[in-house]
Amino acid sequence: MSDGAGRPRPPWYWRVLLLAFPMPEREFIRGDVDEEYARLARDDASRARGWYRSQAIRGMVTGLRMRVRSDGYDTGERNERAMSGLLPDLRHAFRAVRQAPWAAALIVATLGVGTGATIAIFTVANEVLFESLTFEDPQELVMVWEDNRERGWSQIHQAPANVMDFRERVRSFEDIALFSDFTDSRALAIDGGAEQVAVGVVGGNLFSVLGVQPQLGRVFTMEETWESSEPVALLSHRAWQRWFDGDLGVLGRTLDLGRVPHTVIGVMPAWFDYAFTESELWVTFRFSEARANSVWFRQAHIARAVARLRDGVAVEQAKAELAAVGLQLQQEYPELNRAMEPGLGPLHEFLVRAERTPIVLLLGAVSLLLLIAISNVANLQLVRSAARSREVAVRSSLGASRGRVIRQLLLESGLLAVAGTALGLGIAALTLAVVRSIGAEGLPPLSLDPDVRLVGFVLMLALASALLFGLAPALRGSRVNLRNVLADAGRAGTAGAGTLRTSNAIVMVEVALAVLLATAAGLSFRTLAELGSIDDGIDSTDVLTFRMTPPAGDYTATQRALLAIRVRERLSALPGVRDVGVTRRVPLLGYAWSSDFKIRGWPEGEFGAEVKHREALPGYFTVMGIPLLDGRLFEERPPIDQPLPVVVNRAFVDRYFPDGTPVGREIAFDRAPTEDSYWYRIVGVVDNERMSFREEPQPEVIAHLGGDVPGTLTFVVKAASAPLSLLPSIRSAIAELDGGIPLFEVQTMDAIRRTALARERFVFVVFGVLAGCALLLACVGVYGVATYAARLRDREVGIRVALGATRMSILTHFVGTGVRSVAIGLGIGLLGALATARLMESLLWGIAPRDPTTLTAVVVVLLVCGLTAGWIPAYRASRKDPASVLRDG
Amino acid sequence: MAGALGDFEQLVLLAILRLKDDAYGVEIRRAVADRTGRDVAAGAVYTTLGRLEGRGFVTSRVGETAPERTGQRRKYYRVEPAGAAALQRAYTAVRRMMSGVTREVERLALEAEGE
Repeated sequence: MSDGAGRPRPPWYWRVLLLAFPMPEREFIRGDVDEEYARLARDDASRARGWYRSQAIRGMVTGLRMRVRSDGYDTGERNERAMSGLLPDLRHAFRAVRQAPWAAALIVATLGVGTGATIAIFTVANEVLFESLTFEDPQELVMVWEDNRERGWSQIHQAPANVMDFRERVRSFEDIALFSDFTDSRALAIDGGAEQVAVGVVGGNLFSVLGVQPQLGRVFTMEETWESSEPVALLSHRAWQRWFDGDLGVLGRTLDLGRVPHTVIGVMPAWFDYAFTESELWVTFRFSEARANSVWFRQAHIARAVARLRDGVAVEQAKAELAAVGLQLQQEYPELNRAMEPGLGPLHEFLVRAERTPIVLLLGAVSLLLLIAISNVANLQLVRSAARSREVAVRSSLGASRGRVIRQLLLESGLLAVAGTALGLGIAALTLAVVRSIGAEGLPPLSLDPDVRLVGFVLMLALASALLFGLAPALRGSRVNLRNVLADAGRAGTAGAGTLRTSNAIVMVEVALAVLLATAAGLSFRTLAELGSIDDGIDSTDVLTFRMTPPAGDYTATQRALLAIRVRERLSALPGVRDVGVTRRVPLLGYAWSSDFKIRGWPEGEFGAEVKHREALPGYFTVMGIPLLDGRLFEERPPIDQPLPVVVNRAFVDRYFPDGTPVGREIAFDRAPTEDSYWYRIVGVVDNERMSFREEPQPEVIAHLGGDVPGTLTFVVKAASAPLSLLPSIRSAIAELDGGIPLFEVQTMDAIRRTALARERFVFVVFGVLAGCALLLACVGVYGVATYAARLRDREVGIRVALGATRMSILTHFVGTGVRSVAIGLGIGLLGALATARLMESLLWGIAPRDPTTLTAVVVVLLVCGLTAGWIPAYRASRKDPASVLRDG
Repeated sequence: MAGALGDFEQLVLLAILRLKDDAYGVEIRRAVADRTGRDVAAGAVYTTLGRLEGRGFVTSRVGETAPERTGQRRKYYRVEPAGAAALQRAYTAVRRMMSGVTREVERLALEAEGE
């Protein structure tokens, strides 16, 4: 067991504390602690963790002590003397910290929250934004896309024929390759059964363009892009291990993939986690050569393209040449490449584009938080040391050297800084665990292991700020003239007033920054609420959905349609099933296809642009509770001698038939139909359903499944109750029809609804946590300054009370002073929030970035919190017994 | 050769002697903990070992690592004649001081246990 791979590893964040030990001893001590941990963990993991924690904490103290004496560590004598100064100082520092436990706790908590959140967020950002691609010479790789200004599209997919032409003509490209960024899902037959696997579909030259070497065998060749070649497959390392136990003899074996035999030609290395999708294995497009000159090949924007620039070619240079070739292609194919403008940009930038805005915003937000935290620490340190200027003066006058006093104060700051950053590490570990669990659905898969350099940097920053602000007053404090300080004590002298002014300014900044964060949190919350309450036009109660891909080798399109109908009949007969429908795609997850169309009888040249379309069987509408508004639904088996029926949605009617009805009209999905175009008949109008969360329902045409049978069928099943409990009977019913087709993406419609909001929820949770921390810190700041102000004016208050001022008037006076800095901070923060509102825009939905309700709520919450924080010390000051204040002062 | 051995220093020296060729941090700590019931922090052992080494009582050599040590090597210790001499001096001192009062010590200690 001692050499097994599954050995429990000690928690790294505790392990970090052992860094306190000086080299060379550190290595042996860490090794010892790890070894002992492993031994203990064999019996009782939780006890081992407890032990490790206590070792780490005690080790921090011992380690620092060893460092302190490391100058004379191995020469007993000299050492004793050095310690004689330091140990008492350290003891004194502990005592000083213990004397003002709340101030110390606040500093530690502030540092902890600030550094913890920063490490967590920067870790996420680091991984998503800055981690360089693991491809060969990644800076030479560019993404090549297409823009279409006429239609307002940007960075859309490419048509294969155009890419083939770029390959020939753009000399800046060493090579350019196609790949599909939709992962295909196919049934892989294994050991008598079948499993649905994610398959990446790529051009034959993709891996050579990326510069990726296989671990075993070879990668695809360009010829294998075409249908005339033998079907071949490349396995991921994962798949190779899972299905073939890492067998070296896998090369040349035949895989039954969608009932088409594929020869395994290679295995990709373990590190190669395909950057575009999570594929188990890869196959090539296998375009038909016969279609290479077809309209489809130049019209179907189905694939992404990535190119490698020739050595020494700059991105701008390639861009210019590509644009020129784009212009040629526009002239050569004026119909198909109308308004087509190719563009390119660095591959990595393209891959993270969707995550960029939220992550950059989060980075900004967390920087704000760190700023607040650091100013808070500065503030608290100022207040702390100002309160102790008297002690410092007394110590100097009693003969303590300046260096000694500075060392003393530094030790104190250092203690707090170390404790604070240790807490920060704990918070970071916890936050990352939470992010990992929430972010899983909305973000690309992340490993989220904090970068050691990053952690070091943030900790250094926090330590430096705590020490620095501990040092500044120390320098001043150690220089002060004893007589002045003692005479000044207890009065709002110049030094005290100066500190107070600085502190008030810091509070203003904190409040202003907190306003920014709270606004972001408020807006993202409103967005989530708005999205959560939108009417998606469907009744998702007790609806179960699942998908299946009938193997292409066994099923033609017609057979797939027949299978869909047969499955529907079988499932409808099951007890507990109310109705069953089939569709290409379920709502809320985005539209599938769109194309131009023409209604028979429209004048020459007139056409509808970009109507969404989808296929379904009639049960779909009843399962989803979508009402029929006009005409009728299509029948399950429409008569063969008539045009296939379609229904359109309300948005379609509103846009194209505002004054009439489309029922009975014929429609073709071509802007200029020819002899060959297929005409469908519109038989009914259904109500809108929301296909995409953030988009208003678009005009949509839903055709009978037979019109274009999807390769993957999506079933929706309305259950009487508890939809997931039907699964076993559904599986066995389908197995009776074809046992080899696996079901996948089995989930309830309610779960889909939740998943669709995962990203918004993630953004809200992060902003919410950050804003909560900022609010807390700002309150701590207000509280600290109010406490200090009250203490400075203890004596004044005593006199006033003695002279007959009411407690109320004193309270009002103090709170009034506090309100001023909070109010100014709020004002600055509001201006900032208004100025930076545009940054948030892309993350919002349904509300304006300058939403007055949100801003008002933010102001009210901050004001109330600020006032409460300021009120407590003021109240305490006003309750003091004037006699005691005057006596002690 | 200034200063007598501290209490804990004696325990550590004795532990090293007992462990022979296997005297490195983990084992030393265990030996002391098992025989005296003291809970000793890993770092504290090294503070003492460092001091003993500085005084020439022990010498060390860096050894091998083990899988559960996550790549960190072990440091083995050996007691030098000077260390043994110091140990003996300490022991002799205690023995001499004890002679004549052994019974008294035993009696009082029993009382302490009885309380």
